[in-house]
Amino acid sequence: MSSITELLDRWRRGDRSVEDALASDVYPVLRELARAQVRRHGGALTLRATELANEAYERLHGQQGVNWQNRAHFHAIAATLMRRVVVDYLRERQAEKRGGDQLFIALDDMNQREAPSQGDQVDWLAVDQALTEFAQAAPEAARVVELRLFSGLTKEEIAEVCGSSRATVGRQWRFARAWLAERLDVVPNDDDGG
Amino acid sequence: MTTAAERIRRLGELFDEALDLDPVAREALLQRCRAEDTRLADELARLIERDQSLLGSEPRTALGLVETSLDARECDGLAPGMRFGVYTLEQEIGRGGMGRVFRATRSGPDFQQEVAIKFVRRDLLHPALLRRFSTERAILAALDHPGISRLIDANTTPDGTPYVVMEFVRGQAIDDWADARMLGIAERLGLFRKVLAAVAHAHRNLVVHRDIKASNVLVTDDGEIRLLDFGIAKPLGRLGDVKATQTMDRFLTPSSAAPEQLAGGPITVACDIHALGMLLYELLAGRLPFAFAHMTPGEIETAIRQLPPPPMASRIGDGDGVLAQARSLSGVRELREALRGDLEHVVQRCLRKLPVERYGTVDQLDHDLDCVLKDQPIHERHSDRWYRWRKFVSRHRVASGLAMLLFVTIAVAVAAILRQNVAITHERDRAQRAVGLLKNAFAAANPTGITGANVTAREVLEAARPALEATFDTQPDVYADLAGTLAEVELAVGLSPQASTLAARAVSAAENARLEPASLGTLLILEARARLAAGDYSGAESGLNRAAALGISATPEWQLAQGMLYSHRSQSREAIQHLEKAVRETSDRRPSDDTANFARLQLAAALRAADRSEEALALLDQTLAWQSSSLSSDHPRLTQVRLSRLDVLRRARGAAATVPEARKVVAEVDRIYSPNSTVSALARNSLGVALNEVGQREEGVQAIRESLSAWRNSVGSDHPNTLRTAFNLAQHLTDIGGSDDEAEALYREVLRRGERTNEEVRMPIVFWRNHFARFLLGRQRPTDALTLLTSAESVREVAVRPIKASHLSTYVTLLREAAAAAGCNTKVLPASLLPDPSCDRATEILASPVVSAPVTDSDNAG
Repeated sequence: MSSITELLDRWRRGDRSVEDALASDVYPVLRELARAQVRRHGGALTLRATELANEAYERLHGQQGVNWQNRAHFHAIAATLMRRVVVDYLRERQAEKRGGDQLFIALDDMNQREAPSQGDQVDWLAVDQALTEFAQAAPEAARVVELRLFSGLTKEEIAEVCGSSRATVGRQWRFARAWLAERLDVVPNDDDGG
Repeated sequence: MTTAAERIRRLGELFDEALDLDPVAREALLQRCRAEDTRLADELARLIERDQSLLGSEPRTALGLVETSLDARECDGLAPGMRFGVYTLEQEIGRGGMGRVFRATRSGPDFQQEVAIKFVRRDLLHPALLRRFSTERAILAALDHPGISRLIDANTTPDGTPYVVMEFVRGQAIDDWADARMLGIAERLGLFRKVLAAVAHAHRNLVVHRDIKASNVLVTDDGEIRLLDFGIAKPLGRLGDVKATQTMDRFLTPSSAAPEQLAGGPITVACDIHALGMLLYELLAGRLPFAFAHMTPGEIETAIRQLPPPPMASRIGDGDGVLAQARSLSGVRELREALRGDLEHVVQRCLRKLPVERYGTVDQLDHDLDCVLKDQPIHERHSDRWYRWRKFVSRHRVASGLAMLLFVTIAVAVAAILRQNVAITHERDRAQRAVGLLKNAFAAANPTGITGANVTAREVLEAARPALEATFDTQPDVYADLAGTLAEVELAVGLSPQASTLAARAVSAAENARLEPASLGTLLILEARARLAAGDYSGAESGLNRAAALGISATPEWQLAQGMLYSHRSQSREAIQHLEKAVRETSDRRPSDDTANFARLQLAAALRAADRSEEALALLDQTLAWQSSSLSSDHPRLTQVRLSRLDVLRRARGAAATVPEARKVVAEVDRIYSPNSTVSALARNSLGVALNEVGQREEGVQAIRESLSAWRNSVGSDHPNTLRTAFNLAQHLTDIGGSDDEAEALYREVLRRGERTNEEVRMPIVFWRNHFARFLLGRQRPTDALTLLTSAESVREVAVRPIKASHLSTYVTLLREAAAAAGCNTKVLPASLLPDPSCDRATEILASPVVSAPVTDSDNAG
């Protein structure tokens, strides 16, 4: 699968046009792994995004010989796809249940490896939707959110991947987080009549 | 008026500024901001507050877990037989996004009443939902209309579950009801107008339903309709406040949602209009605009947001006899007929992607349906043009959505194959359907089929290739299907070299898979057409011969391709024979059929080339009449024919007769498409040529100038058509005189760009250069002419490429003329004035065997 390697090289050199082609190679793998994960967990509705990303990394790196520049490089690409996998997964799930179940996770998952706190629940599909809207205004900050929520990268790594500084990434994250939190808590029937 | 994105950006800037300030300075910033824009200041204040409250807990880096307890709602303790207050639950009758619905009995001292009780799911009891729930109560209480199910009570159960009690409606979903009674089209419209009356009542009370669909519209035994489930209904705000509010919920049914609902856009009455359009479509055609049942939610969303709904009549298959019967019609033909025309326009207008393009009110929709029932003209058509224009200019947007659809399709198909899943057939069928949708959308977006016009399409297709290639060895039959379809798309958007490569791959996959001769033959014909378009005539010929050997030479598709091959080789007589056969064989097809249309256009072109323009004109006129019988007057196919007709008309009836028609076509095209479209460029070019011929040269030149600018804007400055038009303009300018600078700049541009792109596309560069040289000689600039003719590019063109004998001899004549005029033969001039080394090169070229050897006209030379 040297074509992935080639696409990655082009992508790293700033050629955004290869993203779709890359996605079409990596997405099926992620999707398959996601399904396998759900099966493994006895059908429980659990998706561990970082675990999934690591598995995908192993699969593509080990079995298909894809030459990732480094771990951060892979996760940066996988974050976008992971978001798509999760959203598609939830939608499919939702469709299966006939317009049924909303799935919740904490937007700001306070403690690693802990279930989301009950008081701060958000509809994940709505997060995706809000993030898409937000990205139109602030694509860089939205990218930071995507990486923080869907990749296992540290702040430093995110800054590196974004070609930015830790401080800038921190500020972008704070704005995005505040905006999303505000956006997602708003009740559709807003009170000012507007 | 600022957009949402601008607002967010502004907030981001202010927020960033505020981060550096202490609380006092921050308050001052807010004060300043408030003076300008109160709402913005409020939003900023809330964001800062949010940020502060989240700050204490340094956020984690990972997504962590996505989980929920699926079984929560099973534990709400609700079950038939349960009693509370005056109600006894009888039977669960529904489960929706918000909760469960039971049929129940309400017992009073002297009566018993059947009611429906809706409970909110307890695992969803968060404040937002509770607020919506109470909204629903308020809404229902405000609505009193026989067509809307009545609110009886609203309360919470002893353990705190909120519920509403509604009138229980015994009835049947509107589509089932109509089918069961075999209602004809007019009766269905009558029934549907009752729904409109109920929805209009809700709208007058400033409520939109937001989830209108067949299962929410019941019809009672006495034929009255009842609108159910204002489950996600929402007040529109205060009276007169037309500004819509954003929606945040995903509780709606995706397949009945309007595009802007899925995009999280504003909710207005236009959402209900869209849903009513879907309902009407289903009620009439027996199915929704897209085959949602076979799509993933992502595909459904793409379809609703991006793809134009296919016409209702096109959805009626030959096996739909039962459908016709249920509408009291004798057969599918009659059904298709009934669904065409104004009714189709009304439905399409409801289903526009942009809310502003739909009916503004339910009453307007009702009025048009009234017109349809009374056989009066509707007011619809005007905005239809606007719509088509919009559709055309938003082509790129469409294509990017399609990229996603295609990507999902291929990814799914490939994933299935990799897993060797038993569901392959199903997945493949779905993939093919999706690609079919894609193909139609491309065709709709690019009515003239001018090559290179759709850059985004190229990206779409290239992105799909790697995923597709993976199937070549493992699943050759799948590969043959998908690659064939993709090649067709590529050919349609003008990527002929890519299309021929892919079609050839599809052919070999089909052979590996031992597909039946008919399938293989279809692919061979496709490959031949792609090769023809790419200029590879002998490749096309051998493909057609192979197809003929499979015994499919009688099909109109084969005849058409064979005829085109002859046309390209200027063998008019043979071309006309084959094309006439293709036209005859397709005479019973519909006006929207690809082969039928293409065969007619090709035959007209071949007749014209054979100086039989009268016949060509008659054919095109007949084609127009045939198309007008079922297509709207501004359908892309009609535009295509009217455009081709201009040239034929000029040859048959002269330029004077053509000018007024050309003006009409230009005006029409500007209205339907845009002045900067390929269609407009073609129309303006024809107008310019006709004007020049009748001697109105200034005006003619202006038309061609506009044509050139349209080409530049639509396909770019390097496109062959842009270059040809620029060359024509330069020639006309030369003829009129007085614009030498403009003409020279154009000649130079054409040659510069043409030399650069000539590797891929054959262009008559030598011919162009000859003209420019003559231009220069005519202006007493022999040295410049000589430099031009002896340039490295020029020599290479003449020496290496096969060119027409006439072009070569003109070149030689000009070269001699230029050399003489530049004084190459005069030995008396001082050496410094000699135009060296051009003179030497000229002598060299004139002595070379290329120039002196006999040349023949070649297939490929322009």
